[in-house]
Amino acid sequence: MNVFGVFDHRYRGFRVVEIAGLCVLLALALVVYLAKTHAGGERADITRIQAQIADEHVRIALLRAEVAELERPERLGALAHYLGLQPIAAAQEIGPDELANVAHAAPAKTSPPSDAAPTDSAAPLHAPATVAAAPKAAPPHAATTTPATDAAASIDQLADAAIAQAPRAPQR
Amino acid sequence: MSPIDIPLNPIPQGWRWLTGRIWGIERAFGRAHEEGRAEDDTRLRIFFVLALFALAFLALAAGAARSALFSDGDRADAAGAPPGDRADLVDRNGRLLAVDLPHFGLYFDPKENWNPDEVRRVLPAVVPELSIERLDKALKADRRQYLVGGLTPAERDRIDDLGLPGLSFEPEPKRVYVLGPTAGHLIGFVDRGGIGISGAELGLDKQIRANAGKGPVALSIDLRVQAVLQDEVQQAAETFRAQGAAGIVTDVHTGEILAMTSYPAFDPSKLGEVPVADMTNHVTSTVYEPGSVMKVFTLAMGIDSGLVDINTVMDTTTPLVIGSQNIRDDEHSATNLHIWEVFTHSSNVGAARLGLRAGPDRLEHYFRAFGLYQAAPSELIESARPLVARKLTDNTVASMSFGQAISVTPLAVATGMNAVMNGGVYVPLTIRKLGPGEVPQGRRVISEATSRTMLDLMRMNATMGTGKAADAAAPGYRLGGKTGTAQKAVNGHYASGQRVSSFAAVFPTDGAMSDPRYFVFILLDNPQPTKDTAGFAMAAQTAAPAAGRVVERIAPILGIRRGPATPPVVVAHNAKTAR
Repeated sequence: MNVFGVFDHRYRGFRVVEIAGLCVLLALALVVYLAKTHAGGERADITRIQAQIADEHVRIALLRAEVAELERPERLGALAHYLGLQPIAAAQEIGPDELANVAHAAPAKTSPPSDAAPTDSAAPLHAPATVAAAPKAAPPHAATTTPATDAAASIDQLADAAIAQAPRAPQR
Repeated sequence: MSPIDIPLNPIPQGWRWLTGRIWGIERAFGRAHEEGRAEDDTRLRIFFVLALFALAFLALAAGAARSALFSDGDRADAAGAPPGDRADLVDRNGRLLAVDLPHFGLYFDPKENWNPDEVRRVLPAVVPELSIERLDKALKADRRQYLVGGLTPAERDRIDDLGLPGLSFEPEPKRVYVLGPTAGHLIGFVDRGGIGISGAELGLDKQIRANAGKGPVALSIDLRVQAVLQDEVQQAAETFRAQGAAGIVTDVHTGEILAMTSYPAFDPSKLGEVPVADMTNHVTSTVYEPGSVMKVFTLAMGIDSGLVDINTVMDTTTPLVIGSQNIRDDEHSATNLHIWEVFTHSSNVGAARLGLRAGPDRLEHYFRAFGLYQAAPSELIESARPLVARKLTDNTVASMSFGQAISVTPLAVATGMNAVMNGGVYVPLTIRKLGPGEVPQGRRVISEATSRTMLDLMRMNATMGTGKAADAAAPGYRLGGKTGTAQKAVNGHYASGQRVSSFAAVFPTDGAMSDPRYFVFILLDNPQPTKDTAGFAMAAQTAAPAAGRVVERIAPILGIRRGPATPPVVVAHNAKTAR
């Protein structure tokens, strides 16, 4: 078959090759149009998302600055002073090895059951401070026969109770 | 002759291929014409042109799609960057110190407004900082005018809500110092153009600007340590009604400045409300005579050079007379003192005799090595040069040995002290947080053995000498220290009743030489006695307890554990056997 025969074949008076060429041309124009339209939509989305990212960055920067401002030492110091808080003195410190001694020195009758949650709402908050302030005195909530690990566990329970009673921050 | 036969020399291979193909097609057209198939010739040409167009369209479509989809890649990266021209400043734990926040400048275009009276009536009420003169000028102008800058987003919204035509906003980043006066002198500030003017903002200006959009610049300070130091220095200054005060905490091994404060403090975000004098960083920019703190360097020189050891006996029973200068001790000693007693008794006579024994050349050599003859090297550009006599006479040598006739900055004292306490290596101080394991290069100035002895002497002075108040305030942290109470020089003369009290502390003094160790220095300018100090305002009553309280509070932060309070082994042994 002669390759030039392609140019002779006609459909309703028009050469097929010309119709095919026109179709290809139109298809290409359509593809380019669709690509540009789609790209334009994508670009608008990208621009919008970029603007959102920029806004979020600004908001993050503002929030970080606000947090830093709220946590600045000068302000926290004033709050601590208002609450009557003070740095821990040397006499209030106790090592992990001494926890057992503190527990042994405490009276048995005030020992809370190890599997029971504290019932006095004020006690959990005050108990650690009492232990820290007078390590050699008998803390009212410590057990005389509680080993060190149990003492640590009870401290965890007290901390959990304190956290449970603390007001929760609003969730965003 | 075909195009490929044209003698172009050299002919690229690609060009030869292309011209060959074109010439081949042209010859095909020619052959078709010669063979009487003219219609094939025309069709072939049409097909060829169509094919070329199709290829061109394909190329254009691909290029357009690529351009449309991928040309904004760089912009996406830029959008991910935080706002501002300068990187955030954070402390060594990432706590924010300074940040660029979006602010807005307000502009007015009179061409867009037909009711200037309304603008003049309404706008000043919402923007109190707006100058009326500037507004009037803008209302009468013929082009867009700048009214006021530094508006917060909330202020911008309030103005926008007025709905006044002609008003517009332009974003302009503004540096915000969120901590107020905390570490104000160290952080410094920038001008309206965002260029560093003082402190870290100036010293690290290039790095801060280069890091904009990439990440924060971490300073060496620990905000918790800074807060403690600033609190205690302020309390001491107010208690003793000092004219000024300074404090610094350093890591003796790395030279990192963990805290630095100058009293009165100032808030970099309120520059217009602060007296210029309050902006002076007394740690870096004020020189003073260190007094007996200098004896640390004098004894380090004497011991390191082999002139004396801690048991060498010095003649301290009689005053030292050099020309018209009569050097004597505050507390006269009836017996001669060992070198360690010269230190714990803070004997001027003993230190002066040691300086004279060393001679001017050796003394200058060591004092230069300790960095006392130059501005303390650090990123802080405001570091001031010392005042030192050009030629050392016996008079100046004796005076310098106990801290007179030489004026240096607390920064220089701290740098030299670090060398004495870290094993004998002089390391410049830095406000830049060093990376993990990064150890700065230094130069050896004294031996490790001398450094060990000086640590013991410092500890001994805190347990037996003039630094007991500091040790009492920080029990169990094995603190060592040296007091310094110098007469204050005013207009070239020593002012009667005026003094500068300082205390140089190091902790812990025990352990291996490479163990973590920190230096604390507190200075009070002209402190006044209180009823609790029985009329005294020496360093032992003023700066020493403040330094002890600082150690007591920052040691847990720095991971130093409290231990049994024991005297230094070497000195305790020598103290028993010396006499």
